[in-house]
Amino acid sequence: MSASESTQALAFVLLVVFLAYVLVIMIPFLRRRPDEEGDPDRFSWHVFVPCRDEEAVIGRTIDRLCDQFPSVQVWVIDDDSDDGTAQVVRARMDVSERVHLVSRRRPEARTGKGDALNAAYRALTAWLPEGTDRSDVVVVVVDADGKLALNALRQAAGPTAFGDPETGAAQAAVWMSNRDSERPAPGGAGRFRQWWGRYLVRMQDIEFRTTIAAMQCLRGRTLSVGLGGNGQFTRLSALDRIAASSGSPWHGSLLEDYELGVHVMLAGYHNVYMHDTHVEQEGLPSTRRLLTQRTRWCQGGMQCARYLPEIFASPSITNAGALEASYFLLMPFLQLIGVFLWPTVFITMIAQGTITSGSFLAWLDASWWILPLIVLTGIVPFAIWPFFYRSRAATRTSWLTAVAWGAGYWLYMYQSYACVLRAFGRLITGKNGWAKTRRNAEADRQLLAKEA
Amino acid sequence: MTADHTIGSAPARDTSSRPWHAAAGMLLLASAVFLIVEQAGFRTIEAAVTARVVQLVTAGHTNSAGSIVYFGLGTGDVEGIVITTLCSTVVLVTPLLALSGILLLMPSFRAVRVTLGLLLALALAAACNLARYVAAAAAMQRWGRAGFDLVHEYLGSLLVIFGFAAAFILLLWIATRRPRSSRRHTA
Repeated sequence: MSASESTQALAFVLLVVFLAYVLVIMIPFLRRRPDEEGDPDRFSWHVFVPCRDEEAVIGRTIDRLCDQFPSVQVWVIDDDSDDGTAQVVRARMDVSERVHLVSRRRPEARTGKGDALNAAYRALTAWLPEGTDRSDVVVVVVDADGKLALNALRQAAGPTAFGDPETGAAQAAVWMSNRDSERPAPGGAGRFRQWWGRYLVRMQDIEFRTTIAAMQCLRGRTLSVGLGGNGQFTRLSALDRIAASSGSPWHGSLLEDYELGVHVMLAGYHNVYMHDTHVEQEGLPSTRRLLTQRTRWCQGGMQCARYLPEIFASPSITNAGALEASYFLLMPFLQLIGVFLWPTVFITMIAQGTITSGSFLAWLDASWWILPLIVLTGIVPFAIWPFFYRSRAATRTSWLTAVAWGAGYWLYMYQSYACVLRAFGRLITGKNGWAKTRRNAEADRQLLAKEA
Repeated sequence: MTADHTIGSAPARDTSSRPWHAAAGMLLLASAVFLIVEQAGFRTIEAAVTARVVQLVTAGHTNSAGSIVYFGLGTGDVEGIVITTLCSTVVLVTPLLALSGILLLMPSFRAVRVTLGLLLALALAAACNLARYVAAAAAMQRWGRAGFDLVHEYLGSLLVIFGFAAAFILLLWIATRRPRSSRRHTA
């Protein structure tokens, strides 16, 4: 087999594996039924809100959590903010005993979100009365601007979530809070930037509520649901077990939330996905900020690939779960191959066809059948998700808009190739430091400076 | 702090090592490599088998020479199709063998399930590709070059892409199925 044939054969196999994966995630997503709710009073709920310079949003988040969920304790972790975050929290503590502040100071502070959450875990352990049944205590991680749906605790208490003693962690669906905003870009951005911002935010909402949700639905079957940084629920006894074996519940990868999910599974618990409740977070309306965020996620996924031997050796993770986790963790590396493979195959195909047919136009005339195949295998697997979104989450939108979203979503997915290249570059040069994703309410110049 | 519930009393899988599993896995991986190296010989066999099946749907007799399948022999209008490397079933069989080999290298996968899944997946993938050859030959004899192009390049490609995807899913589905007693959470 020649090098050209080998390359084309590899491209064909990777394409088919990708199509098979798309089909496999689509089926449980489309066939799922609503989850039963449970009694939240069976558990005690502790919401961890990691904060660094969140003065603009933290007050509203605390108020909302206290108003909507009268039984929760709110633990705000101030990671040595330069702004008035701590003062805002203290003002709330004066009026409510359910609000707690975990203060961290440099040089111990600003060492990563995982360390901040570990500090809150220790503070909670010290606060809980001796003799507390820690399997009935649930820790919820919410972003400083996160909005939990009203049914979040009822869903989390349900028989398929923490009502099952084998469940160690649960992840709520994620929606973009600014999906319908006319002006998602900050400050005095012009019309084009606002239009572009609306496009990016809508694509992120589609991505989380269809494609990622479908991946999570499959993981619900394989018992390998991935945890995210927002809307993450964990049983305290599961965190204890991880801390006992690994020193602390959260670890240092850039994808610390997915990493926690892996540890929960390795500890012998199951992770579940709660599609019938959600947490809202801000979508990013700027290309640069989006690429920065996704590069961090991609690099984190690459870092987590080191868990594959443990995942396969663990008797508590199902074979299907291990395979699903493998595909997810190897995806960035497969994309990296794709960055070079797809253009090579495309150029080779055109060059060979042109030489064989005598001219490019003659080849094009004889190869018309390739176009529908490209559409079916290279565009439809992406463009189909906005139609599910339209029928489930945006029923008032016209189908014509859904067609436009389909084309937009296909193009939006190409951002992953830019991110995977940058992530790989950072990985091999040992660059692991990342600034956190900033809120849209902050000034744009400040946003880029902090994220660069 | 109180003790938590006993979790994972029934392990999701048995990860104890089985040496013959690894040997079987290595054998399958070696088979995949052998197929790539000896793909010309495989295509000769493939052409011979295809000629016999094409005989059932085309007029006249069929025969094969190397990787070429001739049909319409004795009708005065003899045609032939070449099984190229990229059209060959080798491209479908090799990844399935390699994947099964990797699964068998992991002791948690049950050899019986992997083997059953592999056999069914191979049968499905090979049947799809054979169906493409046969349909292309029949279309060529009835509708000429245009019929061949349509079936071979368009309908046949779709059949093979989705047939191979289905074979891949079938292999993994059978290989990862768990005993009923531990399937409570997937219901």
